[in-house]
Amino acid sequence: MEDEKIVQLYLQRSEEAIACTEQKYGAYIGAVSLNILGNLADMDEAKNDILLAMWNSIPPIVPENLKAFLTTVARRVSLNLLRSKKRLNGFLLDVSFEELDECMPVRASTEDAFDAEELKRTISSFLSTLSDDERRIFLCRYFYGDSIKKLAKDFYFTQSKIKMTLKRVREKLRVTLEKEDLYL
Amino acid sequence: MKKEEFRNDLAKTLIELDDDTLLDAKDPAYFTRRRRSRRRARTLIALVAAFALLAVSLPLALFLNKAPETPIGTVSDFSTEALPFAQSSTLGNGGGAEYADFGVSLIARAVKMLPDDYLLYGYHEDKTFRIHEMETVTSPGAPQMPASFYLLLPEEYAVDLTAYEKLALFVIPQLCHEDAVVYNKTESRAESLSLMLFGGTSYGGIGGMNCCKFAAIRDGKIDASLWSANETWKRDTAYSLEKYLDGEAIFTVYRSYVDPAQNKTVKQDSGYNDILEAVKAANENDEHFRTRTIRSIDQATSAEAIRVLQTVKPFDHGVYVPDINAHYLAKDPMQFQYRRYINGFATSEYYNIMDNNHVQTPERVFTDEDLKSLPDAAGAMDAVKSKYDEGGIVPPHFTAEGATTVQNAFFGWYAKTDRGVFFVVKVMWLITAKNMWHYDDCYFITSNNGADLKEISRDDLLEILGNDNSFVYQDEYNAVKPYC
Repeated sequence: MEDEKIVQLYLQRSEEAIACTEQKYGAYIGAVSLNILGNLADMDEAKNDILLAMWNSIPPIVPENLKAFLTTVARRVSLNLLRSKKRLNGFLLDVSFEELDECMPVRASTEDAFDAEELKRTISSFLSTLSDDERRIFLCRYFYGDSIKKLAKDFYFTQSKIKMTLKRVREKLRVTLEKEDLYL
Repeated sequence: MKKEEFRNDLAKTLIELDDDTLLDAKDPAYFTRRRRSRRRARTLIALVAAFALLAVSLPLALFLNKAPETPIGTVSDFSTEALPFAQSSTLGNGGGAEYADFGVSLIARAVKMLPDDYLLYGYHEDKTFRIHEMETVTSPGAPQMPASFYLLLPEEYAVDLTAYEKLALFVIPQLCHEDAVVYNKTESRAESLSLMLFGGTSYGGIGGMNCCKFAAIRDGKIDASLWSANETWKRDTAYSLEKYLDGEAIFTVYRSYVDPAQNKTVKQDSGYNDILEAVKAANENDEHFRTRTIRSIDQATSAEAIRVLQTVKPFDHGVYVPDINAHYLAKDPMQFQYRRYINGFATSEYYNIMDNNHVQTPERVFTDEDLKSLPDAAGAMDAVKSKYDEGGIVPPHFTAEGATTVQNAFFGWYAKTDRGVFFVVKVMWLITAKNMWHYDDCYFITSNNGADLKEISRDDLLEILGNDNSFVYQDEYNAVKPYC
């Protein structure tokens, strides 16, 4: 079925719209979601949320390009699911996160209160100082939990290059945190 | 401070980072671009190494009185069997697998419906089209519209439009450049069209949607009978017809959902002037159409940019669809990519124009000498299609139990390389297996030096094409692909 017809079904509040979207773009949604979530079980869970989000979004939104709109919805829903999983299960289950211990300022004190907003501002600002590759590699490793092997494949680098890049970024982060007196 | 606390703080912070930052890190477009640039670099290194090897091996071979083995192959090295050339006129389609969702709006009249069935190159083969010869009655807001043109209708929409006095056509894309080539399914050959081809792969009535919209006009008013001309029209324009019969029909101009004020409401008793006004509004508000045509040309100011536009512009009317990188267009409307078309087929020659002035020129451009001895593009397309129809071409990379080919398409382009000019035919498949999509393709190549058309592996093709390889599939085969 053509995209325009599927959108029309959404506008007419026909539940057939969801079936048609799944039939035509089910695999595509899965691929987009898998890219963010990294495992098939979460991908299946995300699929239903994505279709529900489409149902709730159209109308009032009338997408100019259904596939592009679906991509946006799928990515954001998958990201939110990943966030909630990490909140629920604890971020620290990620082995890769131990590497960030290196970023802890050497003079860090246990007495200072954690200022979430300040740290968020600092990290955002820190990310903006990194190159495109550095920023993506950092987030793929420490937010998405990608393995060194996967990063090497995705970025077309050798594994040693990825490790070296991560090491340099961690060092930059440590210097930034120290400079901002965040943990002193 | 304990390490766990520190980790926890960082973890919370990363979770709360904004969506755009996090999603950007996983942007598939970035990885695709990156893979391409790394492959190019790798190819360059391989070429340099090859030349270095040649430089070393040649004197050594001479010394040993033995012919050197060149590391760079020629067309005659390709191992697969040659295909016979077919006889046909020249012609082609510049588009990819998906067509533009923007266009021009006008009032037109159907002159005649051509008798044959057609397929579009670059578009999946399970869709057959019919073509009408049309004449423009008026196109307010789009003065560059040619006086005559061809209109493409998917077979399921094909009713004889000469039965209608006039037609209001809204947001009708131009599908091909002048001299476009399509596949005449009835006569089994490529056919060059003498007029520009407009049309869509789906049509609707005048309500809300942004697909191509049609309204027949009789005695200066909308003739709703078109919307029930056959079962497809009835099905796909039911929404429009209902709105119309309710006493209100909405001509929704492009991007109207962004700015509802751009909508033009036409009541049942509206006259011809109201329809004309809606046509004009559609043209004036169709930002994509204007951006890609008039505005992009008008705003080019440097002599180099103007020269390039004249080179790649294969038309007289100023209405065309340049091969624009939509990503750039979305990011920065002042940055365009123009591809040159020859004999209706795309070429490897494309230019990036930034800020309407700065021009990035490709490594290799087609010269007048090249144009005198081009490979037989239409013959190559016909030969591959013929072999495919006989069952001689199957997906080479993807084999899985229960796999089903859902769509297949053909695409061809001229490639200027260090080894001469080639014409490459790409056969594409979209396959389903185990509820997932897969993509596969294969390539055929012919040159202007008399070599026969032969199948070529992707690696060998990339070696020949060098950096100008944007039509070659770059990802791994057997990977799960989005539907496209």
